[in-house]
Amino acid sequence: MITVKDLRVTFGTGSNLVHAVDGVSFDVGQGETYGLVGESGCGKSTILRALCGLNPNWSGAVTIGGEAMTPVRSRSFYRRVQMVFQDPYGSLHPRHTVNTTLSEPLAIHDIGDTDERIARVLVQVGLGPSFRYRYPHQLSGGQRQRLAIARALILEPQVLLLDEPTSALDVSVQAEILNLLVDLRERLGLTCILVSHDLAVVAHMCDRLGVMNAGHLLEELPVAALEDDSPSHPYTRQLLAASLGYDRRLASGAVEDIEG
Amino acid sequence: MSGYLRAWLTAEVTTSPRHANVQRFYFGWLRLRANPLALIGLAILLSLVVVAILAPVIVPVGPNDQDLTRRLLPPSAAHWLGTDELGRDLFARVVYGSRITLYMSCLVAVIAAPIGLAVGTTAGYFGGWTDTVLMRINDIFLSFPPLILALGFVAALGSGIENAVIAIALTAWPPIARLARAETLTIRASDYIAAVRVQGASPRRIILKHIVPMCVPSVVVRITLNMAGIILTAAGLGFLGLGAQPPMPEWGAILSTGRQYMLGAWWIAAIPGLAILLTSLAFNLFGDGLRDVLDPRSE
Amino acid sequence: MNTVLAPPQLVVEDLHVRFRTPQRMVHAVRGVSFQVGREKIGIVGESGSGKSQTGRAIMKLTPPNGTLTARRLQFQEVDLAAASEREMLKVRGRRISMIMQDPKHALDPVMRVGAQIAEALPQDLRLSKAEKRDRVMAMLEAVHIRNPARVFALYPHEVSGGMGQRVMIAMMLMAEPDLLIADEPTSALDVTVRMQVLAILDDLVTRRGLGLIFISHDLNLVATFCDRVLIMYAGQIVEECAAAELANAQHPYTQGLLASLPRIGSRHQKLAVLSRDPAWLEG
Repeated sequence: MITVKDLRVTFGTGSNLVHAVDGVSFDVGQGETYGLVGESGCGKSTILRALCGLNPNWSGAVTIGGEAMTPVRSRSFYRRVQMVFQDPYGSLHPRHTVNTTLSEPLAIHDIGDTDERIARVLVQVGLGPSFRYRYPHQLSGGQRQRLAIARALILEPQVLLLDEPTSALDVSVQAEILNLLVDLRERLGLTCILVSHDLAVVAHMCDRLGVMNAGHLLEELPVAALEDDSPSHPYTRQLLAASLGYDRRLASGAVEDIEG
Repeated sequence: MSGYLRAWLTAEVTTSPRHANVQRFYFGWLRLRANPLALIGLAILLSLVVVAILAPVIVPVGPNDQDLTRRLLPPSAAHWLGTDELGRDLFARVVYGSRITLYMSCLVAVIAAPIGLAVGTTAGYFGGWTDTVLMRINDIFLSFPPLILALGFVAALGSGIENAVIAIALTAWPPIARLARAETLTIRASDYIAAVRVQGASPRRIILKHIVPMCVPSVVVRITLNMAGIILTAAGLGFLGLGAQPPMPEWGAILSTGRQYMLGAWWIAAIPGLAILLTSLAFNLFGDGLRDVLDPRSE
Repeated sequence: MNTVLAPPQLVVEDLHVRFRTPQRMVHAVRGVSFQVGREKIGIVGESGSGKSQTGRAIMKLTPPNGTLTARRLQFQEVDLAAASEREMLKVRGRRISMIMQDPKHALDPVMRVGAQIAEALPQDLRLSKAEKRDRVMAMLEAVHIRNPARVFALYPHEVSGGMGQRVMIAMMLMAEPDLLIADEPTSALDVTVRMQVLAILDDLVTRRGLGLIFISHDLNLVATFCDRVLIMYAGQIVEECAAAELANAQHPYTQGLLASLPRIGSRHQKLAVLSRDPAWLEG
């Protein structure tokens, strides 16, 4: 469904040139959820922004649904690929009600029966019709993220890009959103890429993942390898150990002096 | 206030777009009410509007009714604020003058704010050479003192109220554009703009429906605060004989003629001067309060 | 750990924090009681549980629109509840220090790192400039910064997140406090850096015998890092247990939180969703 070959994204010019993504290749099959894990600044979110057309300054070959991507996308592209952002407090327009937020994509793509579609998608994400005329500041974090998911789904896309969809939420709310995403993915047959710094979230949602560091894809592995505790790359093992909590013995290796 | 209305206004769940808007307005009003100085400003402005509308009812004589037998009279029971060199009632002139001042300043605001918003948001959103070109034009306008620039335009266009309005509007938009651009730069980087871009919205739609509504509050606050400057520029043009023409009772023009009689009849200059001061002050006080209410950062 | 023998550093009894908003009264902390010895105590809860306000209340840094009441708020010989703002200045930053979530906001952007750390030194020591510098350098070394001389001269925007947090810790420890309150000190950091910062805190607590209040939303982290855990819900402590025993927690809220965590190996399972029982609010 999605193939990425030798994707490169750079920021800045001259001596300030930063290779944010440096030759990354991976494939995502139809209906699969692929995970990208890494620490902040490793380039995982930059990949998503290049895939969805937010950042046109990339090179390499990307095909989605068999169609080769150009830096500038057609309007119909956005009906097939949608994105959910990390921070539900920042990704919703503060002066738009739920209704305005959801009718905007329909208006952009000249799609009719707005009322019916909004009502349907609100039920799909577990928000009732009573939420329709509220402003984002009247919603909790979880409700906001449900709204952000509804906004992505109202165009009935085939591909959903998830950029840390739960990292700004409390754990009990995270569970609700992850369950919702699993449920929607199965019911709608979505192909997803999930970006997260949390190995447990990726392991829960995906079957296969790529581990990134400093713009490079270090290794690709099935989640089963994490479950057997057998990742090959030392960096992946480090992430795995850290995800289980604090361990003074492991940390003693980690407390090296950092360069000033 | 009845308990039912209060409950409706403060309900945590809004049930219709109208409900949501009324509630936002109500909470804004509560915040404004907590600021006494802003309320004083608002009260002065509202009474000015009432006075302007009801001018014929408030004063029995017209602003241009001359009575040469009663020239240069000091304030008295018959002429509350005295008379001028042609025996015209100064109170009537100041009251009718409020119409001209309000008309000019509102017209300037209505012309300058959209221009400033359009230029600023366009420059901020597109960046690159669009930004460079628009902002350099902006810099040229900003590098002249407003009164000098307005003088130049009036000299080119000819004197009169309409031309003065155009001239002042041309000097009033650049600071608005600056502000709108700065706001746009932060808004553009936000996730909710990225989200609407991912929906395939055109730049035109993003600017008009998503960025402009976020800029409007700070633009409204800024133009309210700039109103004082606009009124002063209008009065300055009138004073120099380039704005409203005699016998129009424009405050600046009255002040200008009063100057000649300063020693014998101080009130002719002092009264319109006071009116200008009071109105500018009211706009400033109200603008300050409005900033606390509307500024998105304070929410 | 000699927590049983030594008298507690801090005693909190029936602490309440209330906020007045235009719409209503918010009771953020509702009768919290606990004691802290020379140990690592974790306060866990979700956003809005009152955990951060509890930490702030101990420093008497409750925002102006809030009111703080407590039957007892005693730190060593100081009665914090009755202490004036003037007396608090002698405690705050000297004997109780606080580490914030984001070092970038807590550091003065136009002051060099070294000078800021030196400012935290008690004034009454009357140290010379060279002595101050030596102390700062020693402290930077203690938080494992390899090239302290270079970091000393940097501005806050020139240091990375992990280093910034180390600088913050160094600053907070300059006055040699007896109690350290850390509010989400590592949640802005990457996992590998997080481990290092935690290890530094861990060693400092052990070596200097400080008390540490570690406020976090991360159950796994608190369970593995702290000695004792308090679980807060809606302004109350619903459960207190030894960190190692967290997996056997009794309260349905704690159990629900633990069950809602995704784990490696939980693939293809539905995560348990916490259903909140109104009875929990009664305590």
